[in-house]
Amino acid sequence: MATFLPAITLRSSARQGNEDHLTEPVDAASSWIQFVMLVVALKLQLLGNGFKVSNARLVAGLIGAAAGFGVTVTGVYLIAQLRTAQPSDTYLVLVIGGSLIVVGWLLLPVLIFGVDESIDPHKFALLPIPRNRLLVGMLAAGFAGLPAAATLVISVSTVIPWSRHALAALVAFLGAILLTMLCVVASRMITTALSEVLRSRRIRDLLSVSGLLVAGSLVLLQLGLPSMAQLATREFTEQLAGVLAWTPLAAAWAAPYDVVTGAPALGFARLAIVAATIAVLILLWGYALRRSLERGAAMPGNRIRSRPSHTTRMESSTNTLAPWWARRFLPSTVTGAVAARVLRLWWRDPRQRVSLLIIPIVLVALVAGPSIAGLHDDVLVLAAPGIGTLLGLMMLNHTAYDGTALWMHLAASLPGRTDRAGRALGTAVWAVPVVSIGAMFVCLLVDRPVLLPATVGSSVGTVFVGLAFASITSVVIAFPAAPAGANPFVSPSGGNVVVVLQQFLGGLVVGLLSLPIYLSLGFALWWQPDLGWLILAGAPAYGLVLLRLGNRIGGRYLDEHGPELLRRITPSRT
Amino acid sequence: MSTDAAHRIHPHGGPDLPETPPALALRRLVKRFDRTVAVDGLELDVPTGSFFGLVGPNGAGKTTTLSMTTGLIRPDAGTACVLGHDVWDDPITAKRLLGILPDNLTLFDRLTGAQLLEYIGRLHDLDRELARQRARELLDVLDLSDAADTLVVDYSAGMTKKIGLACALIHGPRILILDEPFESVDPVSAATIRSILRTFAAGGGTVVISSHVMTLVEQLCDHVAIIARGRVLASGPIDEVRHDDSLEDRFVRLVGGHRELGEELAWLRSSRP
Repeated sequence: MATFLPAITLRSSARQGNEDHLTEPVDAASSWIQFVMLVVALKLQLLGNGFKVSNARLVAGLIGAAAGFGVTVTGVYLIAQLRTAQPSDTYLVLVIGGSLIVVGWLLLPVLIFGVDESIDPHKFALLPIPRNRLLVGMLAAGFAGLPAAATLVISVSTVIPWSRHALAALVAFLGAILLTMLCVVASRMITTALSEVLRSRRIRDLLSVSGLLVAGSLVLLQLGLPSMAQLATREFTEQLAGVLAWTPLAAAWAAPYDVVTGAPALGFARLAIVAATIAVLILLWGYALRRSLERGAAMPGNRIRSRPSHTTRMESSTNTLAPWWARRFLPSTVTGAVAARVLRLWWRDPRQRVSLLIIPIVLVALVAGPSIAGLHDDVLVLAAPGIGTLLGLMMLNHTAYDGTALWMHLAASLPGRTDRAGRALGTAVWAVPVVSIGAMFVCLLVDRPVLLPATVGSSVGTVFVGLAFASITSVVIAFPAAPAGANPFVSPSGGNVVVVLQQFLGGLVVGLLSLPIYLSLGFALWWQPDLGWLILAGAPAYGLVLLRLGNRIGGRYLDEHGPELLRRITPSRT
Repeated sequence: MSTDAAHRIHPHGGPDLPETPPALALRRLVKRFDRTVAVDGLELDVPTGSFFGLVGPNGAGKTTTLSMTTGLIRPDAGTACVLGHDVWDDPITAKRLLGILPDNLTLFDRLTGAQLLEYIGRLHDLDRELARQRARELLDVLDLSDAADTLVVDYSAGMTKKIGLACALIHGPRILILDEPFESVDPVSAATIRSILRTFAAGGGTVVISSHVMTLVEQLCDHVAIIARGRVLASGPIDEVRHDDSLEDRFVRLVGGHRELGEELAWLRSSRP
């Protein structure tokens, strides 16, 4: 099968390495080059084979490549436009924009877990390859990829604006090469160093939560943007650039400007900063790689033997399926059991915990922030039903979070409607009170208690609509979710574009279905506050009708296509 | 070839067994994945009360066959009956009789061991208290009581197998279908599992296990089927299948593909400095 090919490549590379060692000390340089070529070829082959796995992945890869190409072309075009600008302007733009690119490379492995670790150093651990050679090979493999190519093209294109000055253009070119190396080396080093930290499941869970929370709280930054725009005067930007230009983030971008302004020595000093940083990073990386290889490959899941036994009281609370507080809400039926498990998972599964924690962040970002800033706009009450819709969006692919464990539902021949109803109930048990409280909080914040019934009713309504839609989508358009316990750095690449498309379309439909609720809330908001009580009853009723329908459709689909669904949400072996 | 037209041959049991239908009756099962044929018109009867071993080389179609028998993979053609109930026409009755331990599929591993067992018990419509009580007993017997409050995701491979077996047992099935139940299980736990399975079989239950380990199959099973390339090569009481040979020799001869090393790999023998 296609997935075995790389192994064959690997083995042949090992044998070649062996023969080099054993026959005679061939020209060292040529064997180095041979090894580097092999690793790069392996990386490209892995990329290619990845596309062979499924058409969806191929399409996703093509869209990703097109997007990368588009970004690169746009970047080069914009940089080329700087040709006619003042050198000092060019300098500012390149330093600020360029720093962002480097920061992106540094954050990429931390924030987005899809970082490609296809050339995993541990897979080479058993082969007789000197570590330095492995280091160079992995570095070369790091260059073989779209991000590095795009960075190289964009940074080399800075030669264009400096082309009127020959030496500056040369410095820009050297800087571009160094900068790309810096980006690749830094991201490799961070990946290797972090994979060390990520051995324990607990830390992995924690990091996946905190990483996504950081990404989520970037929403909060939006609030600060207007004030930041005021801050960003020419003077301030110049000061900032002046500082950045001495850091590895922007030193390479700033160097040509020094040459143009008649201080070539300064420019070369900046290049030296970048080169020295690369050297230090390579040393650190080599160290991290050695530590990581000597400790052996990360095992799936850290084996923690049972914790010290709990007291009887503790046992009764952790040992039962339903949390103590929810026990009285959840029936002791099969539906109740499914609901209890789903409820547990909202906190236990890091992927869902992120969704859970994002809700207060969004609420604060959308409502509390503007209110504190003195904006008391009634429109803000629309944020409360927005939470319900958001929740529905988060659950578009909810079933796939179970992964292959879904077989247990099939093996128990759980009726599809019970499965659907249990999942909806398990979420509604916490979501309905939470959005109700959120809705009250928003009404009080904007100082319109009259709107309370309408806001609470519509928020609960949107929760039901979201659940109804998720009931259908999470079986009909399900796709494999990244496993909760997996090392986030080895997560399967590709497929993300398809996911985004599905999320987008799903969001559109959820929005349309919730439209009546939003409209009636708007009606109450601007025209007839008396309608509130009607909405308090009507919106949840509307949502419940949809939910019933959704459970029926999703349930029937599950009954008819259970085994196919199981196969579809099974992550493909890569 | 003729397999496409072969659905609905013996809908229930067949004429040769008028009284009790066999525990499992697989008729002309076919499954293709893309272009590879994983199971190719497979026919198999597992007598009620037998301890049945399914052996075959890698990629023989063991797991696919068992998955089609347990309702996890839909066959392209053919039928699978459990005590006379078709798994695909009457899944609720058929699956209630089965206890399943698949290989390579995860459990709901973000639950603790005790919670997982309670959950599976309740999925099978057991009363909440009964499910908890059985969960406690199973954890105790399988020596997992210490780990009852540990998330299953943190279990070792052997512990995961054991809790999976407990999940298969909790609703009191009549037929156990276990895919590689002894893989990565330590010898002490393996002995426990063996005695559980023997007790189950002695009480009239049927056990079907798949394994690579011939000696284990010889030791445990009274019936065996050898599968290769999606077909049954031999099946029946273990003494009939192996004749006077050991099961392993018989297996290798039936499956083929083994070759004695002649002059190949000569370089492997020459020791280098």
